[in-house]
Amino acid sequence: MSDVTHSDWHLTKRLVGYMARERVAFWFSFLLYPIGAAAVAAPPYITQQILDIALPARDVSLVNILVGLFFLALVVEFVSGFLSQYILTVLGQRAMAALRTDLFRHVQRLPASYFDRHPVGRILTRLTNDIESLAEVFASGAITAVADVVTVIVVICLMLWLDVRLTLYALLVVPPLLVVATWFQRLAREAFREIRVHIAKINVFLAEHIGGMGVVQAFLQEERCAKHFDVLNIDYRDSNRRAVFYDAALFSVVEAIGTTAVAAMIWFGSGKTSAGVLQLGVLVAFIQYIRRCFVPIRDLSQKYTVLQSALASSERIFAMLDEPVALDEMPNARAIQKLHQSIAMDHVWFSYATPPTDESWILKDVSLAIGAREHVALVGETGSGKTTIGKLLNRFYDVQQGAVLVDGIDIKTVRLADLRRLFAVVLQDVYLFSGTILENLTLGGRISEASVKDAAKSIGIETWIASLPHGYETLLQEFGSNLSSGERQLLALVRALAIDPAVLIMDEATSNVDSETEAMIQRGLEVVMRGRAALVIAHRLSTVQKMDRIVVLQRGRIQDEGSHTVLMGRDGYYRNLVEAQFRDDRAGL
Amino acid sequence: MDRLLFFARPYTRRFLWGAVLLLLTNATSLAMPQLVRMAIDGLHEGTSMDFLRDIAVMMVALAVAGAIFRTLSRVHVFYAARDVEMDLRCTYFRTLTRLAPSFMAKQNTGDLMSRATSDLPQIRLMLGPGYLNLVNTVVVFLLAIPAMASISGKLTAISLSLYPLGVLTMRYVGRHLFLRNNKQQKVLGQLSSFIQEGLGGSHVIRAFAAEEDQMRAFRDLNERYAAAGIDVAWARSGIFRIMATLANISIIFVVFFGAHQVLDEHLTYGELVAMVEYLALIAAPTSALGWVLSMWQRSVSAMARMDEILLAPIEEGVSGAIDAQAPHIEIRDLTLAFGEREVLQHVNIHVNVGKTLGIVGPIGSGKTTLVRCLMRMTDVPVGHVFLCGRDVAVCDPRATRLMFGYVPQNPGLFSDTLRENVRFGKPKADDTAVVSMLQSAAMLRDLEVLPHGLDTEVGERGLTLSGGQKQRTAIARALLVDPPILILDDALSAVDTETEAEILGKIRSLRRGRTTVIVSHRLSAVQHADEIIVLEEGRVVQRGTDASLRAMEGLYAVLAEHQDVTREGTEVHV
Repeated sequence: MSDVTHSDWHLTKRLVGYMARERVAFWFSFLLYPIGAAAVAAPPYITQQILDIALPARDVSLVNILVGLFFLALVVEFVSGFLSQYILTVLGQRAMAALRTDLFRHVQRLPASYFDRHPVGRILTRLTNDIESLAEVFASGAITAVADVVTVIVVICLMLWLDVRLTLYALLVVPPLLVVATWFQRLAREAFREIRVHIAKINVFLAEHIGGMGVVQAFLQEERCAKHFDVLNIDYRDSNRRAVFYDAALFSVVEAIGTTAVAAMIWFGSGKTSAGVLQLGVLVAFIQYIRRCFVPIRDLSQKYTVLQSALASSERIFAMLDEPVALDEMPNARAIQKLHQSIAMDHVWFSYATPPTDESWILKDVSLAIGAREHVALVGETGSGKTTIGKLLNRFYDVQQGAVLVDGIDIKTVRLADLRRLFAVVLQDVYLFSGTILENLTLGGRISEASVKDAAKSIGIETWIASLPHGYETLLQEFGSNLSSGERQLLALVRALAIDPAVLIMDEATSNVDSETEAMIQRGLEVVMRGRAALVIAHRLSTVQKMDRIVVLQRGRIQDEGSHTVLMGRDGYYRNLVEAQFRDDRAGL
Repeated sequence: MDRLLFFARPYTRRFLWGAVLLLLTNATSLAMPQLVRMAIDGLHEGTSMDFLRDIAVMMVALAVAGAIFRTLSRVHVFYAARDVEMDLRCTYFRTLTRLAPSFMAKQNTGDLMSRATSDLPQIRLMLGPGYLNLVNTVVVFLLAIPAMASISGKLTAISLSLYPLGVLTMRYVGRHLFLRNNKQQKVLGQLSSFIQEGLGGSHVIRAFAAEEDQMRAFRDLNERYAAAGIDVAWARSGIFRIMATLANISIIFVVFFGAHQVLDEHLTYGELVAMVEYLALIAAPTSALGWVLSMWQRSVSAMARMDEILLAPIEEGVSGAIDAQAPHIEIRDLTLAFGEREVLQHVNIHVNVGKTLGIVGPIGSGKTTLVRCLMRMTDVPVGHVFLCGRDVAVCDPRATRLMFGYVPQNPGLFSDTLRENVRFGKPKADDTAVVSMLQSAAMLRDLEVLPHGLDTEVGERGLTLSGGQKQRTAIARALLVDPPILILDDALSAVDTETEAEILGKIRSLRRGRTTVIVSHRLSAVQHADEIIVLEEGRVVQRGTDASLRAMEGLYAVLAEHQDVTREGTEVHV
């Protein structure tokens, strides 16, 4: 009501913007409000006419006519109320759908680092719970608050018309009503904010611990985790209790104030009546008007609570929508079709930290070019920055200094979808969606079924797929946990071949693979690499030897590069690595 | 129903107090029409100002009392409902921690989540607002009907004549609402899991520039959800409007017949107005009945879904400590089947205190199942698996697990700091111990690079760490509990062999004289083991030391030869 801050207005405007996308329906529903309000205001007036005119005159036909009008008012109220609620519900659901779509689209464009900072559980809460609490505005009828305001105005006008003095007595209670309502609402709003924070924590905790229950049990931490969960729940309950109290108190106080208004009229108004100035019917009408005024005002505060929680939700939703898309495309980003010459890194410095600190640089002054048909192996110790290079080439992250170039063009000026279409990425840890093998390979239909099946043949796993219970239609469990990581890499290779990329980036699985699968992966890799550029983060000498060039990375810097023979000829890190390996092997035997 | 009452029982007092206070609340509000009647009839007959003042004062006093009763009744009922919800949620999680791992393995995370996030609130809504409205309606009718009948029995009968019809309509619409609600919930479930997966796999979607396809599928589900929402809104507004209209029609009846009775002087002005007031008072609770009805149906099915978990078989076993001093492991002729498939067949193992057992074999040969049997993370038959001479099948599973430090294939980290993840099994460990275990797991260099050292938040499931870092953190976590038996289940797959050798060397010196079981694809990881068993299709096909097995013809030698060939030059451990 009065406690509307600037930011609330701003949020409301944005929300209404979503609702008003279908202008005609939106404004038509507004037209219905005064009609509905008139229908709500009519019956007490009719009652007054019956009591003060028809009954004293003993005019039976007038009584009948007035009752007929009463009935007509009800019909009008029913129809207009139903229509406006229906229109608002449809508009509301459409608006929620639009908002959810915008949010989902936006989330997809957020930088990868956003996902490093925000657990999936929390993002899910925005897209489901928070939008649901906006939808509750429509479901609970809180949206009709606007109609209620119109009703109250019409009722007050009629009261003034009937008797100005009596109206003023009745309205005496409105200022304290507003003060009380405002005060409670401010408290309730804080409580609702807290409630959201607590429920999000509960959801994140649950999701993670259900997934990791094996670990909880293996380490006998059931009780400690359950206790931790108890605490989260107690916090949640306590903030709910506060909201419940404010809510209940507000509801009751408004009710009591309404009754006080009736009492005030009986006392103050009766003087006039007994003097014969005020007609009895007017008093009765006023008592009914006060109810018709106070029910909406009381509901208004209830609805306001719903609106409060919706505003709190929309605040977070819009905050996420306003989260900068760091990797946004330039307004006139260039379209690219193919890779003609090379993909290159030019004096690149990169850190996951913002802002980067001296120790946080993962890549330091890295320059590297891969020709359109060149195969490059990246070798180096764990943590030397190999995986990061893969993530920078297809712009999962932006570099802080230097540039990544496609055919000499800075990738920041290129259309992101075009850029990513150049690459196929096979990670160590292949993510599979629940659904069938085929759905995973075609990415839900983006790649044609035929090309996927051809690719599976070329890679040589069509017999393996055929041996599965339902072949291509075999359902993968959540997170693909019923496939080994080697099998998952093979599937990823099939997918990579099927989309026919210009560049393959592969993070070779270390040794989590049995020898047969490993041999299949090796063959598959050769097939996929043929005729295109490849950057392989290699873990096997057999792989490395196949490559045109080997780049040795050490602590974020390129330490050496050349072919296997050339590098073996130098007394460098690479030869030491290989030789140390031989010594270890002999010692092991 | 029984189950709902079972969980509500601890809060019986609150619920009863809520009902009593509701009775008082309604008594105050139902006294109002009587006061109004007295005032009007008084005015009509020309009474004194003092009388009217007394009535006004009484009204205000009743209003204040009513407000207090109303607040307290809501507080009692809603607090109780929140308490039941909390108890249920906590019990739910406790049950999850105690469910047999074999049961857990069959559950879907999203589904387990939705029980806590969608079903539970349904139960709370029934016990809170549902209970409140139900009691309120009963109380209002009990109080209002006699009061109305005392004014005019005939008018009361006429005005209430439409209510049975209303109740029937409500039941009909209520059933529709229930069905539509179910449909909406179902679509919401699909939408949520779609979003969850889309977010989890967002890097894949980006890498393949498949955002648009993803958007299309999303939009389709999203529109279906919006349509389901509109269906529900229709039915819901139907229920409320039907009852509200009915209440208004009954007022018309009373005004019409009442007015004629006033003309015939069978009724006073005040009595007519009081009748109308009473009808207005019972209208709201009646229209809430439809809502209570649909709430009731929803809460019953929600409770049934909760019970699928709450009443699931939990782990059992005779409690009792296992002698930690002499942890030897023995498996005698163990055969284990999942459905029709025998994953382990006639397995025999004996590991003495302080020895290291290596387990190798191709994918799907039963290696992980075997170690899970040891830890009773899988149900085992009686009489086959023994720890320190006690049958694991009948021991308290927790006592069994106390003997182990476990590094699973999938590291299973939690979104907390690195420190808390390492000391997950021993929360009181100090930083010195944590750092020293990280050193043993070859994580020290990584620790120096991490932005906030031990305070670094590792992200959901450890997502800010690399695969190798996750595994090494999991190793440090297991080492910290200093278990009598350490199990490494393919725990070094994401680290290079050089680091693997470093870690295994450190574990060897750290655990001199203690039992260790190493599962691996890589023979280098088990080459120092006292005994190595080779599993193939659930059977132990070979056993011996690295040297003896290499000399023997068989799977091990084949694996060794293959790995050596690759090793000839391979394993530039990069």
